[in-house]
Amino acid sequence: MARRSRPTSFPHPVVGIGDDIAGQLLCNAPDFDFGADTTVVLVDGLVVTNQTIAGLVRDQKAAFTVRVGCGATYYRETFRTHEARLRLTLPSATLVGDVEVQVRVCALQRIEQYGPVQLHPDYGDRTFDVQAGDVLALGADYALRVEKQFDPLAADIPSIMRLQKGKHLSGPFEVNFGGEQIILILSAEDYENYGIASRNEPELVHAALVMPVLCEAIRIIRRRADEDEMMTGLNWFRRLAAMMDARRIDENDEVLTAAQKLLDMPLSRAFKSVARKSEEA
Amino acid sequence: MPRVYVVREQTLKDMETRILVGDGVELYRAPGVFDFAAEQLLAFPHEPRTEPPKFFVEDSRRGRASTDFEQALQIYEWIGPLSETEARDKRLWAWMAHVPFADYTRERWPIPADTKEARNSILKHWFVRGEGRSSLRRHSVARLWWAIHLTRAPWEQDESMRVLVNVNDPYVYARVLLGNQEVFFHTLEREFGSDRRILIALLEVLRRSARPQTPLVKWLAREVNLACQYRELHLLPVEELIAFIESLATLERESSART
Repeated sequence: MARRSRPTSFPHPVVGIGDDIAGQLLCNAPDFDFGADTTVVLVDGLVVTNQTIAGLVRDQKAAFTVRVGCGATYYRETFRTHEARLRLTLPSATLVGDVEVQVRVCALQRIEQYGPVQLHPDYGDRTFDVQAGDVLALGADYALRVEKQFDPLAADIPSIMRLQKGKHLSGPFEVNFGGEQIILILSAEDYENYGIASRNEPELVHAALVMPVLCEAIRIIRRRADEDEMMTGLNWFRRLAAMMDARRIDENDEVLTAAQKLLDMPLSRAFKSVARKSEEA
Repeated sequence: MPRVYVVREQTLKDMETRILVGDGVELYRAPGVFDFAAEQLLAFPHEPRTEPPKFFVEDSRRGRASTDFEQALQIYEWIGPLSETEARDKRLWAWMAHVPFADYTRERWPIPADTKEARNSILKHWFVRGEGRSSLRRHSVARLWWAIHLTRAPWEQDESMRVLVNVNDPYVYARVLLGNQEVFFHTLEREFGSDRRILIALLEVLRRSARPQTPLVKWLAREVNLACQYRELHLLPVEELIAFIESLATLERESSART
């Protein structure tokens, strides 16, 4: 997560702006836990080292504030806490692209004759009237790039499958449906050749490797009410089910037909690719 | 039942390339919808209950904008509520502008005669390009859907805005936002426009004011934007926030009287 600061001028002295007031507003870089529906944002380690401002937070006359903004979805909201830790649960749909998090301490009420300790000597005995919402301490601004978590319309089958090199030198590939992604375990020999094949003939890889695995995965989804209840919480299961919904693939579609629709007719694509390359040769 | 589609990513890239370097611009001058092959589209998982609305757009510049609110309402009702991620999807808005609202887009945002200007106009109003606020604000259809989405019955989204409840008109702020192009531009272009509480408070001040909207919104947008740099306006109760923005409006009136 990138950390950046924004120089801003204020009508009153602020911690974090030049040497207005001694002290710092510190926190750990926000932690994002992205889920399909909600995203948990954790900001902890919040501490302001200036005694006056720390006292205002303790007395609930000021608060640590965390502003979360996302220009791509017109989302911006500010949250507050008096504790060292703030845990937010936000709709995942509001966070995509560049997300900004700004940490501040702000007054929650009007404070007359605000004169924090360790003010720069140039201010002398001067005091200030601070309004509710005024920034008293400036922490870091964080910028985070959030890629769209999951796009069911894209039928992004590779996102639910992962290839692994098996311990067997040759022989049939194996599949493990028990994890968050479907793991395809290729023999060492096939694994070596996979790289070449996927670069030169990706359509053939879809037809020969992905297609049968996808058929089996669809069968598992359709059996979920029975023996595979444990699988319904797995990431690949939920994503594949969403892709099928988005493509309006239902029980009326045969498993083979469903898999071909999801892969955009891999056999036809493979034939066309081979024919095109033959003509070019 | 009418279906909604999105244009596949690759097709979208090809279309943009054709506008930038090929003969694409001319295709946009001819009336009618654009044809897509089945393999260039994906079905969108929302099914409107009715056919898309048909719009009549006046010729004059002012006339073209005068029906934005009514058209926005019809578009929102036709498409329905979407999640923000769905409503950010450039593939969806490209299909909307090229198929059900192709004639509307052409009439609302006439394509300039000059090729370079035409190219820019098409990319701005027929496509969502980039990720910033301005990309949605410029798109012929997305801008209208988002205008309603961001302002519709805010008291239903945020408990603190219940003081503003208007049982007779959930679209009271959409009317203000779309009633004047400058209001739309100066609020949604700026970062504070993404904070629903601040946006609605500013629209409420505009709604209450008898002052000409254009100079007032320019002033308020600048001043609110500045205040957001040193003050977390979101923390203020809505009534206080409105009072603060009204105090800024008073300054505009005084400033205007002096000049």
